[in-house]
Amino acid sequence: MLSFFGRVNYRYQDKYLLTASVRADGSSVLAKGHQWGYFPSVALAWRVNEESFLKDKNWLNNLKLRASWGLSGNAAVDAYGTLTTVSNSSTFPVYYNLNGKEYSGNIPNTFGNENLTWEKTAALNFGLDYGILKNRISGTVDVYFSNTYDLLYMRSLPSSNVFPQVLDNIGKTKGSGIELGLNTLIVDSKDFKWDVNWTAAFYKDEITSLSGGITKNINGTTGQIVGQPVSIFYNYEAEGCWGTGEFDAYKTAWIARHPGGTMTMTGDAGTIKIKDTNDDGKLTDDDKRVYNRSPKAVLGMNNTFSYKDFSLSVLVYARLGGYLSYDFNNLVTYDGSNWGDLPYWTPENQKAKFPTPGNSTNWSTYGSAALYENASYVKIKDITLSYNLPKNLIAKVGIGNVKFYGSLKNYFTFSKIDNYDSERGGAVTFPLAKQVIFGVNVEF
Amino acid sequence: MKNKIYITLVATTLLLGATTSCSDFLKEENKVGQTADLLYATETGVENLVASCYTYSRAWYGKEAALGLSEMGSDLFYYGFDNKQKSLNSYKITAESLDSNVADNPCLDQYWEAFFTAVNVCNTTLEYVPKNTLLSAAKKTQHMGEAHFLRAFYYWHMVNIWGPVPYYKESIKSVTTDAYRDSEESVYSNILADLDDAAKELASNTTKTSSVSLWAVRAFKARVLLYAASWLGETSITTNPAYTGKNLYTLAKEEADAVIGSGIATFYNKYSDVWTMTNEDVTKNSESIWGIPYSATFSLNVLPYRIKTDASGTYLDYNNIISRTGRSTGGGSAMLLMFVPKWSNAGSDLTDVFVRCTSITQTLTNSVTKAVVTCGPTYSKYGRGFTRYVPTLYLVNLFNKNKATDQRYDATIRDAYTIAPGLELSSKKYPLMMDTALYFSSVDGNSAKGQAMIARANKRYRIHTLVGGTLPLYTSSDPATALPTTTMPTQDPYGDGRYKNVAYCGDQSFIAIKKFDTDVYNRSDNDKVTPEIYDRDVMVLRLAEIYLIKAEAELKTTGSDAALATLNILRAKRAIAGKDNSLSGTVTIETILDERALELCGEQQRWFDLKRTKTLVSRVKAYNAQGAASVQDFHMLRPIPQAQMDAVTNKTSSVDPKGFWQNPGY
Repeated sequence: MLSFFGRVNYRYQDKYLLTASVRADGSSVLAKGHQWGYFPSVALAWRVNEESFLKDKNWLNNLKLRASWGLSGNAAVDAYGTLTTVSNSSTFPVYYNLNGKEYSGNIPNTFGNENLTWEKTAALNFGLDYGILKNRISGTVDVYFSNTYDLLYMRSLPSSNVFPQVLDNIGKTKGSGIELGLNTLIVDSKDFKWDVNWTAAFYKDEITSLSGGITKNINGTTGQIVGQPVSIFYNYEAEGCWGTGEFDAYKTAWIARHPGGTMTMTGDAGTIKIKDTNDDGKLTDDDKRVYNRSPKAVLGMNNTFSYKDFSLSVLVYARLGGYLSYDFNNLVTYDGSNWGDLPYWTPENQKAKFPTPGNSTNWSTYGSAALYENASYVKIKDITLSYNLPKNLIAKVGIGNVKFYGSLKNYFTFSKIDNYDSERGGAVTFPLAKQVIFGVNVEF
Repeated sequence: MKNKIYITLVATTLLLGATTSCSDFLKEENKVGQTADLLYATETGVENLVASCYTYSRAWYGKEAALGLSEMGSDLFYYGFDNKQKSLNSYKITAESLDSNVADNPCLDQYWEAFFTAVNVCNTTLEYVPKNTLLSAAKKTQHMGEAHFLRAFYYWHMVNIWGPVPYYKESIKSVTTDAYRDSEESVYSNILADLDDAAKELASNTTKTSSVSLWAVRAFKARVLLYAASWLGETSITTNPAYTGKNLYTLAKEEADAVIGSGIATFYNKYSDVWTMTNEDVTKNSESIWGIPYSATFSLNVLPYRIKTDASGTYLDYNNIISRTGRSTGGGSAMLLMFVPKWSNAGSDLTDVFVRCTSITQTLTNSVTKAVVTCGPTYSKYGRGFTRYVPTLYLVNLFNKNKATDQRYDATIRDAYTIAPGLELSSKKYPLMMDTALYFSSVDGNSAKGQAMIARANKRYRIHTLVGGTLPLYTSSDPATALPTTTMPTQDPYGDGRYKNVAYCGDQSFIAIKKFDTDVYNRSDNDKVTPEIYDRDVMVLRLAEIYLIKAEAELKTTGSDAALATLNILRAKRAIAGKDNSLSGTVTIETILDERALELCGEQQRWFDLKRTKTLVSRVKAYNAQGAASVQDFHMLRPIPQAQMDAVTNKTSSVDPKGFWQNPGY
């Protein structure tokens, strides 16, 4: 890595601020001829409340407009990614025994990309900081737009080509979002204070193009698809299980819709039902759908009440939208013996999500489509009640501060998934603990 | 008012010594991985590379997933209770790349990767051996022969699994996202060209070794010719001028005759000697022509990583249906697990006399005399009840038909389990037990004879009968509809409910194929009793198959009489001493397939035999009720893995030489 860096700061009348910088980075992990990246940025700010026409307005404490644009680079890839190498016989042994002699060979196992270059992100940001009524109400508004070019990612290749992936600059993405912050000091009297902090973030991103004219770069159930969000699952859609006689009726109706067509789907009662989106009678890649993993919005609210020596804070947090891959659903193996207390399909429970055990092999082929759950949740992340012993009382015995407190952490979660804290992100190992804490803080 | 201007200009180099010029500084030198040009110029480097060409054969031979792709969905086996590839038998196979899923996975995606990697290693070898200046000319010629043979060997698997596949004559030097499927005729033409090159290059390598010999090449060529003749047509090869217009059956017979005449392999008088663990070494086994060796040091049998990585660039392993049992415990053949029923643990009726042994010196206490009895030597060979493969009623009937005259029944079929000496009369549930504790009889349990046998077994041993009776193995005596029983036995002959357990059903308690068993526990890592893997080598080409190839080629050229004479040479070798084991009458392809089943069942060829003779659909419908309802003609080709379809950029929806299409039906 070799870098050059330059910056200009300019300030005029403490009202207008400008920062401009440029850096040039050369990275050895990138391909020869593509190692240098040039990254300029410029930021402007206007402190509007300093202007003469607003300066005497007492209700306005702060008003600042900001705008910035910058180009940044990412070359966080492992070394030697651009070199074609053979395997290392200790970390990638290739054994064989011929006529009593043991061999450990080295085979071509890495394909170097001779065109690997910087991933670049251009970001444009507009911001507003404000504070009114003696900063009783203050906050920020930020709107941003970003475009990423030459996204660095593993490109999936046909494995008939031996190397199923190569690190490559695979395409372009765009993203935009709004972030809002609001501080409201609702009550501010001598004994009672009520302060609320609000945050909200809304975000959207999209793959705008993939290099080489492809529209999809899929690796298993993840990948990139042009026109779709950046972080996705790509899989079939499960619609519960086939009911008794349901598939026969479905097939009859399908054949009526497609005279002379061949249906290859199967659907024993109690087996997983996969949606044939394009209605061609076959389950193929074309029937898969996109599950966006990113939330549409993240909201937070932190309330703090204090009355004399008592203080109560409540932190509410919400993540709305998006899917997660719930590992619990993956524990359901169709022939596994120990399913536990699951609402699986029985003739009496035809609406079940999970198939009847031991019935069919379809589950291991298509069961991953039933992994996805709506990741939305609202949780009261933290409730803390504390009480400080009056200072005049304890000062007499030479103690600085005594605080009793109790808090509930992660205690209340409201989500679409039964008995699970979605903040864990899908894993069932190391679940997030619900905590009840009581404590005493003594300071001398 | 003050104007403030700050200008800072900072040049930083994140470099300790600062005087290097920029262009040199960013030049990346490979300090960790070795480059091909340097390594393969050395003698050991290139010889290791040659050995690596063979390595990928271990991903297929002796491995559970490959056994499924080559024996399941045929007429010989049902899936048992804990089979991990049930969709292969039920023909609910899809193109989905299930990768590491081990609940039910055909594993075609990982084999697709393995075979193309194997071919690339062969191609790399073919490019670097001629350039190497340190090897002797004779060594170079031999190594070219080995690589030519192995490229043909891998492509033979691929073309039979998937039909048209991309054929690569050179190693991969650039990445493309397009792929093109070469026709089966073209792939076969290339395979034959490689084998002809290999035969020339290995002309002086005529002894049996684990390296490829001339006779391995010619034996395999006999098989390839037979496959091309039966699947594509007897004069189907057009692009390889050496074969244009030639009758491939005639050529197959010539190759078979040459191999038989070479003396590279000879028949044992005792058929069981083919399978005894002391003869497992493919270079020592008298009937073996060529095979895949497994080392007694299991850590040296582990498969290489895949070339595929996870998102962080870490190489992935083959899943454990293929690799059994994973990197930490080493690798080997898993064949000893595949055909074993629950003999010791179906229920609790035999647990006082049967135990799965983990040590050869393991003991049991006689519950009556309290004597301590060493049971390891008797029980260890019974193996572990993995319940993967159940013989079809057709296969059992076939063996029974030949039982009186043919040694292969006794050497292949385990229908009785005896107790360790010293445990007589000690079973609480069967107090009169003397030697046999568990017997699978091929009798109809509802017949008079069956009823008599069940009465005889009373208090002596547990008896399962083919159909009917107390513990039926199959649901029907019609091979077209018979299935292993799976519903709880209804009869309660002892009045104590001892058979109220689905483990007594035919998918968990069944007749075993025993030719892959082991009773040798005194080798390096093979010191564990009833292990999950062992070092039994895999015979890929053996003499009996050459006779079967010859007979089939004769049937299709000179006719039934010649085929019958050839089959009867094999039958005579397999005869029980003093018995007439010969066949008579008119030989048809069904006769050949029956004989192949007797000789080669479980040896990773059956599905391909049915496919190439185009009897797959008819035979599955006739003999395998688990697949009969679903099997269709399109199943003769396996699906191209979805991961490949996702990654190609010239995907087409129908057969198109310029495109890349999924096999129809998937």
